[in-house]
Amino acid sequence: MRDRIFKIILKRLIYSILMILVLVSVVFFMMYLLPGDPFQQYYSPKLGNDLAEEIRSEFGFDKPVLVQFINWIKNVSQGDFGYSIVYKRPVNQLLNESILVTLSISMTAFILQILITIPLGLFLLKHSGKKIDLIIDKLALIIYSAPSFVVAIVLIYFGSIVFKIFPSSQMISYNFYEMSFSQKIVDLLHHLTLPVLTLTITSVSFSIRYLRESLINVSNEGFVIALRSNGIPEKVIRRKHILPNALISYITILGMEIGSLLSKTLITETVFSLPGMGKLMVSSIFTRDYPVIVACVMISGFMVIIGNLVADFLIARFNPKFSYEIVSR
Amino acid sequence: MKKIFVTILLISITILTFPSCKEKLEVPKDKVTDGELFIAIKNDVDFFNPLYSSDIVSGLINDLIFSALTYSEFNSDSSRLIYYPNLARSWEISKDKRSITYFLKTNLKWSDGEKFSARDVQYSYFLYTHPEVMSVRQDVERFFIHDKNGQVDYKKSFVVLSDSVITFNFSEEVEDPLFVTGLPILPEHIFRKIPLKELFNHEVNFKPIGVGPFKLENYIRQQQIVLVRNDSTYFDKIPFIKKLIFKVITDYNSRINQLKNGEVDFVTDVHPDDAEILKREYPNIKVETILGRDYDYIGWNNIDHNLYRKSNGKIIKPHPLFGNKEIRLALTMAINRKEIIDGYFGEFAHLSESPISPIFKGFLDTSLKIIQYNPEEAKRILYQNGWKDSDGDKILDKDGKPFKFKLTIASGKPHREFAATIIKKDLAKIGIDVEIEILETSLFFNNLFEKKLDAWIAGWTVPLDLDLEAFWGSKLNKNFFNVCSYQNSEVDRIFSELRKVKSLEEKKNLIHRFQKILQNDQPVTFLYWIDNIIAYNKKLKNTKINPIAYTNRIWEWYIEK
Repeated sequence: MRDRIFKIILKRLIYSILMILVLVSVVFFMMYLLPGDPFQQYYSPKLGNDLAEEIRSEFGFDKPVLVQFINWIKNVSQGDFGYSIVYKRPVNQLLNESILVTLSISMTAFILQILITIPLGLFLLKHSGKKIDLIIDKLALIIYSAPSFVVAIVLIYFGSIVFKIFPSSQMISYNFYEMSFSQKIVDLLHHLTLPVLTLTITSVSFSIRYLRESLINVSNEGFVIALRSNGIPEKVIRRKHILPNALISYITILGMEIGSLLSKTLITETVFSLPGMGKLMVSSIFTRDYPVIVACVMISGFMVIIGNLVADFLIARFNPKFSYEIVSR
Repeated sequence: MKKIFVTILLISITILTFPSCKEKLEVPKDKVTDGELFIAIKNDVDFFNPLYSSDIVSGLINDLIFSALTYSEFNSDSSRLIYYPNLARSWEISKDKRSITYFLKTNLKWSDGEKFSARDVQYSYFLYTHPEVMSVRQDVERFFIHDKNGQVDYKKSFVVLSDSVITFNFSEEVEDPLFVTGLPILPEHIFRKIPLKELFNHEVNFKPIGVGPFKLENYIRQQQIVLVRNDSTYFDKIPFIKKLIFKVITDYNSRINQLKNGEVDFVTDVHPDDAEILKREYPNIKVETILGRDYDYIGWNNIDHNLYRKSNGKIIKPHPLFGNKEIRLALTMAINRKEIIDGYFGEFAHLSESPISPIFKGFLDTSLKIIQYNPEEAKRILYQNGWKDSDGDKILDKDGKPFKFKLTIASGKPHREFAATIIKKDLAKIGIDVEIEILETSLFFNNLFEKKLDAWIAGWTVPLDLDLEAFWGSKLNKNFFNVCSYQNSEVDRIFSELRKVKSLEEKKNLIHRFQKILQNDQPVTFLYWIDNIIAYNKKLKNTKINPIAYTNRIWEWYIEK
């Protein structure tokens, strides 16, 4: 059985890599079909487009698209994503700097979301049908319907403008490098509180509705009624019997959430001026910085696929019955 | 021996002519703190290297790190740049204006401790003009002496006479030698080690060593640029402010909120409505306007661009709608430009009739008539040209074709969206159907430069040297920025005469004539000059905002205790 699961994992990983390759190829060619010129910044009244053409040729962007694609694949296979047209630095270097930022805020929000959603779900189950349940449910719906930048603006308004507790932008203070280690940690936390809160609130609003629904559904199932009739305390039933069963659908949502969290991070980084991958990607799309866009898409795709794989195996962990389903997929 | 004698003689003359270049500033010391100033910027720097930096923000920051031989301020009355000593303590221009000799300050050091000398100046100009370097400022090479192969003759053009004296020799008389030789200077000891072909991608572009009033302390991409006072250079303009922190905040609303909130002290490009709020509700914030060099216009493609592109630029025929100057004049008359200004900008924009900014007082032809909003006259001109509503659909038509077109604008420019709405409404009143098309900025400029648009709203910045041939010269393949494809041989003659002018008066007359022709031809409809609105915390004192750069004389700014 173990060998079989290992083979299946391998198979799914190969499929995932192929999927990423297809995704990146489509994005690569689409970028070239897209009108706009990344070398537009070098147009000038005195030099016209002469300098832009010189630099284009220097970067090898004057070659046929297919040749560029083959060169790109060769370089990527050696771990080289090329050179950013706009930032004039290796894409690898840009990614290294920005992935850390993105991962730190999105993963913190992801963990916080889990830590908040599960107890909140149990709380809502306990108070199911009461006023507090309805209020939280409706509030979650409102927040979920609002774009994440609206949540960011509300948090900036209260956190930075009204109460002046948190900075409204940037990741660190200007004198960060003069600080001691502990001061640096405090400074980072101080700056990242609002962005992480933005992501956490929007994620919780999304996942709590699913978990609540799932918990209520499970609590109405026959085996729960049987447990109740056997006089097992409600608290024990909720934690030991309802929750593990309800978690299966929640974990599926978590896998999907990784993808949506990345897109929310994209907006959050722009609003809070954080130098993460989201901001890098948005600015690169506007400036048509092809090598950066393709690299970002590849990394995001990779993260989403890994997220989904992890979710699948977690489901299998919580529901042994499900591992057979994974095997048979 | 002769060289030494000439040098000594020149130095003596200069010392006699320029008694003192040291500037003393009277500032109440008890009110001044070293201070840190937080400036919000909308984009990151592209390069910490003036060889390549091409955007406004980068230019301003690089000017604080790398100084030029002189620094300049724009004088609106004389419409000229006034030059002051900077790395050079004095200079002498030859009578024929074919050479300029600079006498450099002898006590300056680069921020890494190396001594500054004339060889740095020589090597900087070698880099700016060498084709392999691909500098964005390489056009300056046209002023210098060239060899048989058409390359700049470096030995003849940039002559080092001693460690502190350098002469620039030009191929012909140059109207403003100080302007041509006013590029920031780079350290030879750093750049000489780097092969020219590798410079564009080299890490030196993000590790600047300068001789300016500030040096780079730390830089985090898309986050912040921290400049610290450069005490080590023995620069005589030691700033009062100790640190300048440029915060990269791409979102406009965040920049304004952070100013209100005290997280930043200085913001540029404030929208008019916010300027009013800041003035009214924030007593600690000062709002200043600079009459600038930026104007918006409606571009009418003067030629049939489809035919032009299909024939690879060989066939040039008038545009079916906008090829006639009378029609273009009628369109200008039909648009209530004042309504756009009053409705969006209030006091922060001014009607424009030509591409010469009001800051060039001497060159602006004040005798130009203002084309008044007159829809009735516009209708009459259109009627005379055969445009009438023959089918009663309220849209003018001619030979069965309706007068309708797309007016294209780039996204993210609320003032142009507002202007487009007024234009659509005004033109509808005289029977012209306008469809507003909003394109993403990169796509917009792509279509603009490829001459794919019929009509558009865009804006240009007028160059300080008023060299406008690239925008209005008839050779369309050469003058890349002549996007409306305007052609007039008389205007070409003016540009050619402008290159040979000997006196300021002559230049003024030619530029006045150019404006009259342009008004008569109406290749575009000039809309308005936009003020650059800046807002800053009132604790910042002694700012002297100049139209060419808001960080002008930043070493004189101070923060009150």
